[in-house]
Amino acid sequence: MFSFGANWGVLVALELFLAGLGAGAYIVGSSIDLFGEKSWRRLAFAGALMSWPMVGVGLGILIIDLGRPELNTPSHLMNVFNNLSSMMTIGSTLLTMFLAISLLTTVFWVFKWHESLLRSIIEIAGISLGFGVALYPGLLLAFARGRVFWASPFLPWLFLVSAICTGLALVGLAETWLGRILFPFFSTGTEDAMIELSRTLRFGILAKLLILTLYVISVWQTKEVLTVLMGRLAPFFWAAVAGGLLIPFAIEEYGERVLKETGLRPIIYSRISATISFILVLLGGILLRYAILIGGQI
Amino acid sequence: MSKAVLVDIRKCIGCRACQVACKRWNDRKSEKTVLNATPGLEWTNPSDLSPRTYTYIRFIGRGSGDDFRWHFLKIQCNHCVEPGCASVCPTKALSKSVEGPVLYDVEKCIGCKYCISGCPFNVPRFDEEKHIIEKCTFCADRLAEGLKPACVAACPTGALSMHERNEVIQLAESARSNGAHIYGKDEVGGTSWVYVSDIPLTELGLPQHDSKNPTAYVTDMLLKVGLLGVVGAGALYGLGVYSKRRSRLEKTVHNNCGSTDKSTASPRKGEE
Repeated sequence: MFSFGANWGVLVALELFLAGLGAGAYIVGSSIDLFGEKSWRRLAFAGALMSWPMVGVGLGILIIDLGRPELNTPSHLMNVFNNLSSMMTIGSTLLTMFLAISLLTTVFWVFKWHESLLRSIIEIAGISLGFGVALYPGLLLAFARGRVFWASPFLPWLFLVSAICTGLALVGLAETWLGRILFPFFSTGTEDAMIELSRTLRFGILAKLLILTLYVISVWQTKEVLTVLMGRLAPFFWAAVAGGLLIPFAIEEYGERVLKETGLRPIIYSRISATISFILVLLGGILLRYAILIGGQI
Repeated sequence: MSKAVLVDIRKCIGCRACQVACKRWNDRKSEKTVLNATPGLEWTNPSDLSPRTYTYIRFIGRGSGDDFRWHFLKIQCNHCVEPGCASVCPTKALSKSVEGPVLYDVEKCIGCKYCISGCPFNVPRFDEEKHIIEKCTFCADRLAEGLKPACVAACPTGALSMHERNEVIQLAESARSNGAHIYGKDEVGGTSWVYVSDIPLTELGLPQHDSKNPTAYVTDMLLKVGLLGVVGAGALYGLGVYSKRRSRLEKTVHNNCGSTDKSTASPRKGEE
């Protein structure tokens, strides 16, 4: 219904979003584990635990979207690995490897092999693959020569930054609502981590705004830009900008100012404002992908 | 040897014999068409390619009054020398044959539709019922029997003619030296259907493309993405260094202020 006759519609937008989200959550979680305090580990575990289901569900949606279950048997789907010069083959390979690594990382967490050097090595490999998975949707679109609206080198970076922002939001959301329920075996003391997460998110939102602006400038000559900025897709695009970037930034910024001025735990970290901010970032991520994906095809 | 077709639209009279021949040879059923509402294209019917329409003639009216003229532009798969659709296809369901046609192997296709976006001419169409790709086959089955494609065989004016690709290029270059415009010799690395016209083909709606083949296009894009990555990483590093310095400076100022406050603080009662 919302695909406007495009060949790649809502389900593909959702898949691109979920792939980025899973990769982003993993990158955020594993970076916290590698470079953060030990007391922040609950967030690190949340990142790993959330990553593979997102990517897995995304892949499932993609297979459903192919819409030919009688033809696309598992062995037939293996054909997707045939052409190593195709970005889709490279992306599928990255996704498969990333799924394996993120699952393995979760196993390490579940069995509490916390101090293992092997886990750090796996996490570094997973972060590298995560960057590949987060960049791949943008590269997939940028390499499609028939779509001038996607033909920008800024697009992969826009999707990467968006993936990290949504990953931060997902980890934050998990910590806000499920932290103590799902991960009771980790010690508390994640408030500092949440403050860092909020700061990183604000920086990510600014970076995303900058790259989005540069992307739009780079495709300004195309007629599709009118459809996206002022035409049928404008409500989705501007909702992604206002709702997914500006409002969450304002919420996070307000929280930071309160923290600076009063030194108190700011309102931002109250469950409701944090939840609103994180959910808006997630919605913004999917709306932006949708607007760009559909915009390139109509 | 690789076959190619010269499409000399100066000779085309818009009879649509090629459209009909294509439908008949490829057993494409008829479909309900709608009037083309685009000004100047009203006589174009059908208006676009579809799973049932591998080729059609675009009727393009240009000029006004005594200067008004029709241009008849045949649209079909251009069977690129290095096809964009085949280069993006993850399953290798699409491939360029030595004989010239870009072939489609339905047995390998998974229905991902990436070829549609990868085609620089917006040609492949997806059959929503069968979940397969449909496009002009260059009548590969006829070529195998030493026959011309159905559309070429049906053309009454010689607007369509099939030769070896190098001969087609020679004919096109010769027309260009006489003031004609050509399309397909260099675009996207070259195509097996090469156009000759008395006005630029891009003015008739064919897309503007440079001569980069898909490999060069992807390499070029990848270099730009990589360059942006390096610039971005540099900017991030710079920001990190700046931010660290700033916080160190703030700490130093804070400490100095603290010690100054202590030294200038008035002594408490009893200390006087």
